[in-house]
Amino acid sequence: MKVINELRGLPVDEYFVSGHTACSGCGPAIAMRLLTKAAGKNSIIVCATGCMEVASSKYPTTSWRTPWVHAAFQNTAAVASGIHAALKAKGSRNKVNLVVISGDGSVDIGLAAISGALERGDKFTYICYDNEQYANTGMQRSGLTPLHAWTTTTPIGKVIKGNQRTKKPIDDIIAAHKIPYIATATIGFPNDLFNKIKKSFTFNGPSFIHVLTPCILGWKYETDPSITIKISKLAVETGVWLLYEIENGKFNLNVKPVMKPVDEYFKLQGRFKHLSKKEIEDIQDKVKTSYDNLIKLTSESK
Amino acid sequence: MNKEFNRIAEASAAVAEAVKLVSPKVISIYPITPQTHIVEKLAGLVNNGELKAEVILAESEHSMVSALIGASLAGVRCFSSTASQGLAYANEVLHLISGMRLPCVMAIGTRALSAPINIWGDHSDVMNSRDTSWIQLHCRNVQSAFDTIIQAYKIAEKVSLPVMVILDGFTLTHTFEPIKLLTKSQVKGFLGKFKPKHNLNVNKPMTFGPVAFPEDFMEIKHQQAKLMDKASYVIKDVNNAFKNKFNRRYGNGLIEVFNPDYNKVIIASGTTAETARNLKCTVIHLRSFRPFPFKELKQVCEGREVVVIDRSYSYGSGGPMALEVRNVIPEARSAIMGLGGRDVSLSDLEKVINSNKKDMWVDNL
Amino acid sequence: MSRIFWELDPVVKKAGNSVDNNTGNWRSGRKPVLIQDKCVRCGICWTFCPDGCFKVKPEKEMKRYKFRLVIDYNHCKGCLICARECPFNAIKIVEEREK
Repeated sequence: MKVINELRGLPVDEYFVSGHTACSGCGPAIAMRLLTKAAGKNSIIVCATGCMEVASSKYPTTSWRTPWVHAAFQNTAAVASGIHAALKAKGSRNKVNLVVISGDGSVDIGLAAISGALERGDKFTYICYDNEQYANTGMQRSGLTPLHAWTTTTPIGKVIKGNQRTKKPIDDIIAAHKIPYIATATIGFPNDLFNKIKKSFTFNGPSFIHVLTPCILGWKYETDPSITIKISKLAVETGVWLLYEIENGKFNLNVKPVMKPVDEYFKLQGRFKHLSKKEIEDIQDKVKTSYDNLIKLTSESK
Repeated sequence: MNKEFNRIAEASAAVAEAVKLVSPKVISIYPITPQTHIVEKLAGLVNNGELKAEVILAESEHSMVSALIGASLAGVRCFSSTASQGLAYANEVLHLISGMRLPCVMAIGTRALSAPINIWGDHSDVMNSRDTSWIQLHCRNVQSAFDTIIQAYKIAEKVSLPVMVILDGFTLTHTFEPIKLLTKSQVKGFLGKFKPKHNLNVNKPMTFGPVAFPEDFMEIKHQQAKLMDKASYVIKDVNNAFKNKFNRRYGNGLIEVFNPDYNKVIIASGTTAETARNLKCTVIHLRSFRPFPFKELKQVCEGREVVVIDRSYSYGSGGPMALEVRNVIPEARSAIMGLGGRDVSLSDLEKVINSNKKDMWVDNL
Repeated sequence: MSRIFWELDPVVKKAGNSVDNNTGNWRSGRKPVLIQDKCVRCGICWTFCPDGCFKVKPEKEMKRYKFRLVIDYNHCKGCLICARECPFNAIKIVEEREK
């Protein structure tokens, strides 16, 4: 007998259940719980190779309570296209939500497949959980690793310290495909994430949701895994991660960052502990510029 | 034209027609020479309303074949077609499809693998994929191309392994011959309704493609090997069923034997075998390369002089077909011919039969 | 977990059966304990648990509430996100001895 149906605006039913082998305090695991609540019982999930796939589908067990497919690393969008076409041919496309889950790794290697699927206009929601490195293979640099971050392939050495490239502007790349709905989200704002995913199912075309999910081992705060949500909230409060959506080309800022100094976000993560004062100042400037830019785009959309 | 034939058709068009009669709900398309005619014909059929299917115009072969995974799991018949570089690019996905036991069917218009780049027919692309656990059936003429596509769906669904229907690039894909067609209801009656083993059903949620750790992986793969062995019998059964319904058979399904009474034997796959039929020697068309018909070959070739014609080469070892044949016929000779679309003429074949070299390349070197 | 060796399709047919996997033995020394008297049932702990360890159960004692939250220690990995995020200090961190 169900006692309550909803708590804090989220359905009580779990479709990503416990017993998975993700790290204690794993950010992406929180994202999985939230997104499966948004997708609900009538959903089909296509998942890319990555932490959330390996930790949840060790034969003969599974943590997923919806139909779930894992094919390979980079072809999730293509597999989703196949499912979309088959359901359309059967006449049952509108009865299910089609969700694609991948890490930031699959956005590098799978960018061609994503681009093709978006261009074909197939209706699915692509959720990229971004922990800013290739976590599953042991924290290597990905295209979405931010500037200066430590990873095992961009270590802090005597000559070169950390990642020398900036984060790939994947949201801009996706937005350039002019799909109906793109949004950024993070687990520290769970209702925002939930609502955005629910909204994405209403569009008659592809949606892309980019979720920032802190990773204990990769972001190097394994001594205190309890700060996963705190870091996620700080990312938004400092303006490092802006929460916005682009609905049919119109920009909308969802949460106005209070603009705390970026250092508060960086000092909690061991992967940034080598940052010099000058580097932090540069980042603070860049964050302000990005935010001003977004405000401009938002006001132009009104 | 002989009254018993319905049409003169290019093999590519015959394949498209066969697919139209099977009527898969999803067709995944990416062009590559020499199979492009197949997908163009199919797109034309769909846009004309003659074939009701969802067409996925993929952006690469890797995605094209990946879409088949999604479509098959969602519970519909699907079709795709590729060649050479595309097949090699999608190779990773071929293993996934067979590992997940999905009954997909693909047509391959064989073509040499780069480098150097070459668009003409040889078997290097399908030999490159021989370990992907796909059933590989070769076609020697336009009629067999048409029939094998239809049989492929029945075989795939009975065995739960995917099937590759192989046409020689240009020598078959672009060749016109008279053929007998079938009707939609005949094909429907032969195949029956598609009953997928599992599919993506929200009322019975299942997890497809899990991680198998060392304690489970071997048994899962061993079972897959057993399925491939079972395929030998299913190919033979489907061949018989096709003969009973439509009065056309392809040997016993695995091999076809022509001019049976000679002492010299040529073993070849595809159009080479069809050409060799004009010679004064026994010709075995090796229709099924995977699963390999060891028993049948040993039986037919006992005590005879055998030469195997390969249209590809396994560098550092030998011709792929010869290597397998030598398991049961150790003295079999091997001739490498027709690489990169080099013409396999009757005079070349005669030279091969009359030679006594154990291993030879039929070229100008 | 018993393996049925004659049905080895690489498909997991029992949705959500990972709950049989006891990840509670991952905890190394500290566990969260929910103080029911202080809990206002805001659900923040339940929202943020990566393992979904907070279960909603019917409330029997405190008439003020319809339900209570109960921690599933068979799956709690001891990350203590719940203890940190609870705005009412209703979750305390308790030392555990090795079992």
